[in-house]
Amino acid sequence: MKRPLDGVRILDWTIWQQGPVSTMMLADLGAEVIKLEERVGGDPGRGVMSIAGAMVGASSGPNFYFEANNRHKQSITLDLKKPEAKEIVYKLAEKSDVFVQNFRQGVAGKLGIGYQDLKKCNPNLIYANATGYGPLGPDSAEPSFDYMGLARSGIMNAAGEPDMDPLSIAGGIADQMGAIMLAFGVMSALLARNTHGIGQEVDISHLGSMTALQGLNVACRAMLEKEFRRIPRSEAPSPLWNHYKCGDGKWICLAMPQQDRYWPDFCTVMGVPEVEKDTRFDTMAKRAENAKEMIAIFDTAFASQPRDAWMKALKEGGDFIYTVVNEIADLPNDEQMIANEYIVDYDHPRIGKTKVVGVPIRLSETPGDPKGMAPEFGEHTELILTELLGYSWEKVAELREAEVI
Amino acid sequence: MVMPLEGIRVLDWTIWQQGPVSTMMLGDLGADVIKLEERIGGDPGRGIMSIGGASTGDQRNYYFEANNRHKKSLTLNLKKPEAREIVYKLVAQSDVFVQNFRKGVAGRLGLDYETLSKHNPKLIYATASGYGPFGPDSGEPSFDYMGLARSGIMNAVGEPDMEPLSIAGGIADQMGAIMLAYGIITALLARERFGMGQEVDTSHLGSMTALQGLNVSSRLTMGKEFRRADRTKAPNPLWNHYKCGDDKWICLAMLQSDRYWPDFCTAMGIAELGTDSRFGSIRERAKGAKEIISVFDKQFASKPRDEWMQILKNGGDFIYTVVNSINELPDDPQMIANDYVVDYDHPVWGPSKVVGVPVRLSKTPGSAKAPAPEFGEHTEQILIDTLGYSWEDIGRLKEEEVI
Repeated sequence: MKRPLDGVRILDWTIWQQGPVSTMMLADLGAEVIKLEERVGGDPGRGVMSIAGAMVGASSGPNFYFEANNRHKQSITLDLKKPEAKEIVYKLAEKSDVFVQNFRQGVAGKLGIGYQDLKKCNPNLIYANATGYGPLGPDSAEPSFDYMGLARSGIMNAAGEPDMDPLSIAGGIADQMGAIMLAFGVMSALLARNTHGIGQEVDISHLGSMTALQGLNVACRAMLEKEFRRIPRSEAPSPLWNHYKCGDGKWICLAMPQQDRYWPDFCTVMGVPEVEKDTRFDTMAKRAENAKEMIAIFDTAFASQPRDAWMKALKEGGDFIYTVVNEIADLPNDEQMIANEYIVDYDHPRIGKTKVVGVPIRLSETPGDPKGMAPEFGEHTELILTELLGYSWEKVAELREAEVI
Repeated sequence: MVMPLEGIRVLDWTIWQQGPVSTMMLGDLGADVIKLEERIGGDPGRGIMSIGGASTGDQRNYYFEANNRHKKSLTLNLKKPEAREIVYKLVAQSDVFVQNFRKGVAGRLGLDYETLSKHNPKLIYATASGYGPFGPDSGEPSFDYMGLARSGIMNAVGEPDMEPLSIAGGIADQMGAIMLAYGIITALLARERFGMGQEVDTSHLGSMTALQGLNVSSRLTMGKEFRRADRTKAPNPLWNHYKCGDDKWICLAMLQSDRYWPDFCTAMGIAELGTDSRFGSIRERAKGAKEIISVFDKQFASKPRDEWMQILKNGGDFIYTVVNSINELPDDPQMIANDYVVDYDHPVWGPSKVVGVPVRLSKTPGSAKAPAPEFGEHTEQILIDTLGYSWEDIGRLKEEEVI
C-alpha cells in the first residue's frame, strides 16, 4: 500500500527531541528524511547518557532516546561552517519539499540556511521551525527544553491536588507535543502547497503547543476569567468522576459525568445499595456537598477487593465508564495497546527483537509504518552525495579530506 | 490570504470534546464545518453546567464555544429516513465525515463508512474513540479522565510515592482531537496525491501514547520508564524548579550543566558553591544533589521571582523560565506576541479572548476568531443553499420533526 508521504523528501536539521520527533512522525508516514548532522559530534541526542532519571546510553544498552526520535532517517554529516557544505545543503534543498530546524533564533540565518536563503534555491520549499516560545516576543530567542514547556504553559499547576507545589511530568511530553504540532503544521503546509501551489514558513513552539494541549482550560480562563481547579481526590465533587485504590494497591478510574444514569446500579455493584437512597447522597448536588463522606464510603468499598475482581464486577454490573489506572510499565502488556498497534513488535537489525511505539493514527488505505531504525552517525553521507546529488567518488574523497563531510 | 483547508467541507457528527475539537481545528484552518446535531438536545456540550470546578451556570458556555467555533449547526432527527437522506446528500458534497459515537451507533443509523462511501467514494471518514477500533475495549465509552488513567500519565505526574494524580483541563480529549485532525489532514493530502478516500481513526489511548512516546519507548527498549523525580533530590540541580520569596516558582532546564555551573552559582550569589570541589562534575553534583538543592532553595526564597528573573537574565546565558498557572497565561507577553491567545470581539459576548492557532503558517494562516453556532442556526441555510431544498420542503420537514 502507498504511504501518504511517499515521494516527499525532508531535510531534517534538528537536535534533541522536539525537532527530531516531528520528522520521525513524517517518516512514519512515508517521507524520506535526511538528517543533517554536525560533522563533529552530531545530534547531542546520540551522546545523551541520562535524562530525568532514565539511563539512556548505558554502555550495555541501546540509546532508546536517539532511536525513538530518529527511526527511518538517513544521516549525512556536514561542517556547516564551510561553504562547500552549504552548497550541499542548497543542492539538497532544491531537491526537497520540506526543511525542518530547531536551533535558536538567528543560528540558521547566520549559517546561511535560513528561510530567506533556502527559498532562493526552492521557492516552493516548506521551512519549519520549532522553538521554545514562538518566533515573536521578548523570549523568542531563548533556548528551551521540555521542562521549560511544562513550566511556562501552566500544566505544572494543573497536575495534581490543590495545595501541592507545582509538579513535573516525567517523560518529555512538552517536546513531544511541540513535535506533534510541527508535524501537523508541515502536513497542513504540504496540503496547501498541493492545492494552492505555495511554499511557506511554518512555526510552532513548546509554549504554543502546550497551550493547544490545554486548549479547553486556557479557553476557560480566557473567556470566563477562571481556570479548572485541581481536584482533591478525597473530596471530588462527583464520586463517579474519580479514581480509587483497590485492595491490592492497584487503581481504578471512573468517568461518568451524567451521574444519575449510573447511580443506582453503581451503588449495587459496589455492594453498598443502601447508599443509593441515603438522603445525604441521593442527588448530584448532595453528593458534591457531602463529598468527603461520600468518597470515604467508596474508598472503603474498593479497598475490600483486588482490582481484577472490581473490573469484573463493573463489567457485569452495568454499562459503566471506567478503566484501570496504568503505569507506563503496564502499557506493553495492555491488550488494547497491542490490538490497535499502538505498540508493535519490531525485529531491529542492530538491537534485535524489541518493541516500538506505533503510529497513533490508523489510515485504512495509506497506513504509516513505525518499523525502522535510526541511522548510524553519517551512515548515508556517501549514498546521498553520490546518488542524489551526483557527486563523484573523487569529489567525496576531497570533501572528506577537507573535513567538509 | 488563502487558508490551507479553503474549499474543504467537513460533516461533523461529534459531541463533547474529543470529536468537536478536531473539527474546530480544521475550521481554524479554513474548512467549512457543518455540525450535525440531534434534533432534541443536540451536543450535550451545549448543556454543560460545570466541569472541573469551573461552572458556566448562566454565564458563557466556554466549553461549547471553545470546541465549536467556526461551525454551522444543522439539526436532524437521525432516526427518520428523510434526515438520513439529507446526510447522504451532504456527504455527496463533502470531503470529510467525523464522528465520535460508540462503536456500532453509526452503523445502526446507516451512517457508517460502508454506507457513506457509497454516496462519495472519495470520502474521508474519521472516528475518535476511547481505546481504538480493535481489541476487547473497542466498544467501551470513554471520557478524558479514562485517557489519562489508561495511558499511564497519572503515574508519571508528580513525585515518587504519590498516588496517581489527575491533570485538570481535558488534555486527553484535546490530544485525541489533535491527532485526529492530523490524521484527517494526512488523509486529505493522500487523497490529493493518490486519489483515494479512506477511514481514519485515533483514540484517547493511542494519542496519549503518542504524547508520551519517549517515555513509552524507554520502557519498550530499556525495560524501564522515566521515574517521577523528587524535587528535593533532583539529580541535576540545574534541571529543577524552585520557589522564590513571593511563593512564585522558577524552573531551570540546563541539561548540559557543566556549561553553566560556576556562572549560575555566581549569579545566584553563592559563588563559593560553584568552585566547591565536591560539586565539580555532573556526577558529583548528582551525589550531592540534596545538599545543593537545599542551598538553592534557601537562596531562591530570599528574593521575589521578578528579581531572580532579572538576575538570571543579566548573569549569563541560562535556560530558565517562570512556572505559570493557567491563570497567568493570557497576560504572558510571549502568549500575546505569538497570537497563542488573541483578542476577539464576539458577536454575542462582546470583547473576549480566545485560544489562538498553535501553528503559524506564514502564507496560509489559520484564524481563531469565530463564534460557535446557536443550536440549529444554519439548518435552513444549508438545506436551501447547499442542497437546493425549497422553503416548502423546509416547512414539511419541520412539521414532520425531521429537522
